[in-house]
Amino acid sequence: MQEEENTRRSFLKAGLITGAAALAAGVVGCNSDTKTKGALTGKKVPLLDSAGNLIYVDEVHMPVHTNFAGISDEESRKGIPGKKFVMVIDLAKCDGCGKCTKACNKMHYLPPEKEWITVKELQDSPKAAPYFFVKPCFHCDDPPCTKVCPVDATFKREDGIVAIDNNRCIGCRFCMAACPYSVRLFNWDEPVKPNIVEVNAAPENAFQSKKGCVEKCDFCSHMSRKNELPACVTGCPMDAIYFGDENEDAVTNKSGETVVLSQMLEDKAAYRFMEELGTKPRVYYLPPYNRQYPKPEMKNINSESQS
Amino acid sequence: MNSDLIREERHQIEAELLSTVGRRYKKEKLVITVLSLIAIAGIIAWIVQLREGLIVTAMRDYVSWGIYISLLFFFVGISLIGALVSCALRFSGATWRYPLTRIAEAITLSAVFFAGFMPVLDMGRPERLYFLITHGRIQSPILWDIAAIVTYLFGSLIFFYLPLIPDAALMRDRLTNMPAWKRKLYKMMAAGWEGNYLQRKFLNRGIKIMSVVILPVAISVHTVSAWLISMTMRAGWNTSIMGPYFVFGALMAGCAIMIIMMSILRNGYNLQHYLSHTHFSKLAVLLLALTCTYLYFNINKYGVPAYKMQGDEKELLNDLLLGRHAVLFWVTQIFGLIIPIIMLSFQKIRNSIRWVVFVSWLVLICALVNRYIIVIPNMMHPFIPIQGAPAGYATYFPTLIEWLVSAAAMAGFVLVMILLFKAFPIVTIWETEEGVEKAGDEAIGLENMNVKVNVLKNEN
Amino acid sequence: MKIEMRNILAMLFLLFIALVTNAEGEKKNGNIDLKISSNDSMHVVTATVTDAATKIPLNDVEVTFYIKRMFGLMNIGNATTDSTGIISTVFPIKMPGSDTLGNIIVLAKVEDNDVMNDTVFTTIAKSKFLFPASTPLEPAIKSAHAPLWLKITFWMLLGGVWGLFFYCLFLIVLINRNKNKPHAVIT
Repeated sequence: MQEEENTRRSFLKAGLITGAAALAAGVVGCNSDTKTKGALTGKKVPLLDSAGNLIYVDEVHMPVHTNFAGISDEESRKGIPGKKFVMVIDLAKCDGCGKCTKACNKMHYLPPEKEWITVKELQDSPKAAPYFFVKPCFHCDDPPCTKVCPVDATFKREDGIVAIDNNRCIGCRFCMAACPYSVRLFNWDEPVKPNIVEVNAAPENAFQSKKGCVEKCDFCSHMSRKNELPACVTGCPMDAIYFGDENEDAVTNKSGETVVLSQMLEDKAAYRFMEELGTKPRVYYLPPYNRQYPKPEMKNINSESQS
Repeated sequence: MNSDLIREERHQIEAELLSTVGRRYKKEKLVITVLSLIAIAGIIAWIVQLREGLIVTAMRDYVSWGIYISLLFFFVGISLIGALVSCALRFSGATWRYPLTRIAEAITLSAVFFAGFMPVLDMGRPERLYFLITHGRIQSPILWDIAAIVTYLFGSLIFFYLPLIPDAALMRDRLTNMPAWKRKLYKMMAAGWEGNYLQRKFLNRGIKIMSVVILPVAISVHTVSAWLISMTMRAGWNTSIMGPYFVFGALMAGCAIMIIMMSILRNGYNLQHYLSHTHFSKLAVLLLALTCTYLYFNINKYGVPAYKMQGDEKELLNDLLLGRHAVLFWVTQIFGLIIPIIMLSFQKIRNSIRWVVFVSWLVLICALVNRYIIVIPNMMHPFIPIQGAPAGYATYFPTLIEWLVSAAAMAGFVLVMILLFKAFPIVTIWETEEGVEKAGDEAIGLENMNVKVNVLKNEN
Repeated sequence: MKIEMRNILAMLFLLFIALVTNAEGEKKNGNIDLKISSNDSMHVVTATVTDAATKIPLNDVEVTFYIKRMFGLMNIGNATTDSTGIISTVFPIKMPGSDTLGNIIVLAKVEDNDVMNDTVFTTIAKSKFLFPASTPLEPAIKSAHAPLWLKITFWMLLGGVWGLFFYCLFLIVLINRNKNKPHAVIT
């Protein structure tokens, strides 16, 4: 492994083909940051591995990541200056593989039963074809959740993101009742804490689970601070999810394809989910027309019963 | 001639009503022991919940509100009876209300206290409760609810206390064989009352103001509680009838619990003269009117969307009318509304205390189940269908912890009332006397007194 | 095991490409001179591709133009030079800038070209449109601050009711103060 790593570096240094290098980087995959720092202590600590499974490792084997951007409380409530984030999901490309969920769970250290972004199988009417419906938080411009929050723990930022401050949340769960999209999750018990050091203000942390508090998709604002795409976008092998800045009128997907937002929305007849609710979501959908994947099986419309 | 009778009756009223203070009623020890045990079990369950988190409840991400919130609505509901008896009946000139006001206010006081307590039980982080003051957003209906509940609690305290002043003075003067601390307490509470003209003027003014103010406050408490759910977009909750629907459901449940409390106190304290057949049959008529109104509201709330069967409402209505929750739903409608209405329509049943109390139990229990029906089934039908939810996330059945905590809240509610009635006369003495003087025994519903005071209509 | 196999294959692939590209022989270092002009509807990017050493225009160089956006480069067109070495492309005048100054970073990139080594040149176009100002959320039901009408209504209602409550408490004080007074009128 180590040798391969070196080989790869030397190739990159040679300034060769960037496209091929990107390919190689994808194939080589991630290396574990696990390092042995000393003798085993015998104390086992719970940890989520990259597949999202709960494992127990010795204390000294805990990986330490640091995520420090020095974001203050005030900045985290204001948002990233000059941005208005927006997401476009191309349903014609989504084959329901669920890798967005996996990538998201890894990014935010979530156990498998928690899904900030989730893939549902919807069928609008008995004869209409079913399709995979990817549902992150819609970060509405008229968010029903921030309206009802009694303590300003969930709030709309200037960059369009609806964030949660889990140092403020009192756990009344009114926002969960108010959200028509069932996006919000509650920490019913003590979450498994990853061994990472994060000193940003709570809404900009990668790990946001706190017992007795609500959590949800945050559009990976800590990644946007670094000009990097959210985990679900970079995790989507179908290039179905686009993310960008509405002020720049551009959205980008995993392979770096950057398109003009307004033009894409116009050309591909984009829509927002349940527009009639008037919440003005910041997530647009492109209809599943000309699918690039085998469509899901036709099902009985009454999907309610299969829960 | 009449004044002699009145003086004689005064003696009887004061003697009989003061005798309930501190008196043991039937099986007092047993009742208090059982209730205290339930309360202790509930407190232990609550401590477990505080330590472990809400994971010990059956609530999960889909059904994120459970019986705690249902009970909040229930307690807020029965608290409305105080306003009904002390204001609505006052302004409608119902003289028979005189002996009932303190019971109604006690129910209100105790219910509002526990109504304020239920949301705290439901919070994920109760230690951050003070954030509501330090970081409160008045745009949130929760703030309105907190403000309304606190206001109503404070108002109810004042309204409980004001009519107590002359009675406290009476206790101060008469109950001289009480322990010193009790006498001190009564003396303090009497606020120097000696019944002079100015004192009467101020007291009457205070009661008048409070009885006007408390009505909008009481209605706002319940309306705002209804808004907690109707300000969301969920199917079944997203309806403008919610406020009035809650208010009338509350009045109905409050009336039922009033009748039940009266029957318990009447038997327990031998108050047959004061909580008489007249009161039960009058309240039965009131209960009949309220159940009819509530049935009418239910027809509107469920019937109108059931005719249209609009997309999102359809799943919920199918569930309620024919599906998983059909049994509970139809029990509340049939046993909680239709059968009570039919039964109360017969004068014979209205005149029988036993039957009226039976019907009230039916109405009360179904009103409690109805709160469950209002909250839980709606949460199981979100706009985006539940798919692949982890085990237990798409269903709800309260856990032992939830049952214990809820039962403890109920027990606490009764215990607070027992405490109130142990310290103060159950029936407002001076108001009853005043009623007798002004309107006579019959008009205020006194029965089988030693003497009978009749006041001619034109004398009044 | 499976992954390592894939890694090895990828390395071999890279090695192969490297060998092929090296085998192509001598390539020149190029210079791209970028100029921005604009008409009513379009910004025009003109690129002059020359040999860095000799300043002679380079023929047959494919240049791709991009605009830098937050998460990637947006392709706005490509063209291949003729003997003049001059090519151009356009992008809409309404293309927003990347910052409050209205700067649009335009890139001209040469990749995989037979004539010239890979290179990137950038220039800045100025957007004529105001960058959407980042405005704090106005007081509203949904925002952190309550609108004035709500504040007035809320506090007036609450103040009114509590005012009456305190008046009633004051009446109790008055009752207490009026003790030990002769029974003026007994009603």
